[in-house]
Amino acid sequence: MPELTLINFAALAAFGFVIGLLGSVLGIGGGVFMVPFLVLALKIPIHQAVAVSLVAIAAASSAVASVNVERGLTNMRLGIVFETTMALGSVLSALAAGFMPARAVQLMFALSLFPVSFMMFMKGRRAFVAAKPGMPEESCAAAGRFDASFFDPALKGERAYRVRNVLSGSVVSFFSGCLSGLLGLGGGIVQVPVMTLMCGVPMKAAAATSNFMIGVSAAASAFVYFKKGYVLPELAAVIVIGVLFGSFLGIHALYRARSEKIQMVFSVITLLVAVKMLMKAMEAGRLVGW
Amino acid sequence: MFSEKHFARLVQRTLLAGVVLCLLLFFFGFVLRVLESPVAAGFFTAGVLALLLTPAARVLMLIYGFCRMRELFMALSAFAVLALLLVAFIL
Repeated sequence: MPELTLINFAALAAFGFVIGLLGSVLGIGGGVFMVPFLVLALKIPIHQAVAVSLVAIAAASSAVASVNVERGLTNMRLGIVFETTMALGSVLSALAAGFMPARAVQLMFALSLFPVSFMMFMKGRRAFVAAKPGMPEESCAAAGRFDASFFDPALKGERAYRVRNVLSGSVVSFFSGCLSGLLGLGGGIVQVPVMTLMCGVPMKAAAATSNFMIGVSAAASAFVYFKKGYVLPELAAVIVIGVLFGSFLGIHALYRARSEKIQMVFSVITLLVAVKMLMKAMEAGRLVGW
Repeated sequence: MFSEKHFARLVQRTLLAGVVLCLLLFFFGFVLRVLESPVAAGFFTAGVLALLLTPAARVLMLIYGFCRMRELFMALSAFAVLALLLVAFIL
């Protein structure tokens, strides 16, 4: 672990702040950015970097959800149903981790993220062009068990939405849990597109619900690392402080911003993650002689 | 009558309590570290543990809330998540 000077403290907390800000607005944990930073910039061994990253994700999730639940942005019912299959996939893949071709999974996952990124961008752009401020579009009377509504300050009105394809979403959540167990991801990068593209949940509610869910899978994985002694508590404390401040600022941004704008930013982040994972998978492929 | 608002507040307070407890433990950890006390590390570890147990406490509150609202399917789903969390903790 690096010496905790005032400069290191400020740099780590500032990095945590940016990750917390991004994560709370987009509904992703940010592990995909945090782990390389800790490994490359701070020379921390990979297992300890993943452990610290998971602790930070759990922190951000709890902080963000504590506000979003009360504001009605989080769809707790949808979250808990998706969480069930996601946790199942996570636990099963953790058990089967030694027998699964993780690099092939990584390659397939990276390739599938490209169309997801494109679809998220197009859907966000279409809605952005069509929507007028003050006119909540796609509004409908909430009726089903998973249907919900929230006050959207960007549209200056209540936004109700109907949730569809919950069963299909649960199946995809299972695979998202498998990916998180195999590749060490929080799962938000899969859950947000599932909710927006498959289930018809507005981007803001999808980001809030994803944040609500990923805390459980991150905490479960982090506890395994904790028992093995990989968590560096002091380093985790500095990053968590930054993440928490960033998260609280991000909540404000999420509440005020237009769903469609957030969706387009998310599509760019998905594209970046896809490129990064593809490069990593191909690099690993070269090493094993693909 | 246990309403949706009460339920949201219960979950919100559970999550916030976990975050505030963790921040307090980290704060005392840093103060003790500046004073070069050997117990500082214990406070950091306790803070991390508080963070990791917060989502589990939130799932417990979901079970309680859904039971109070007589939504058995949801309560069962939350219970399944808690069981899977326990499995992950034991593994």
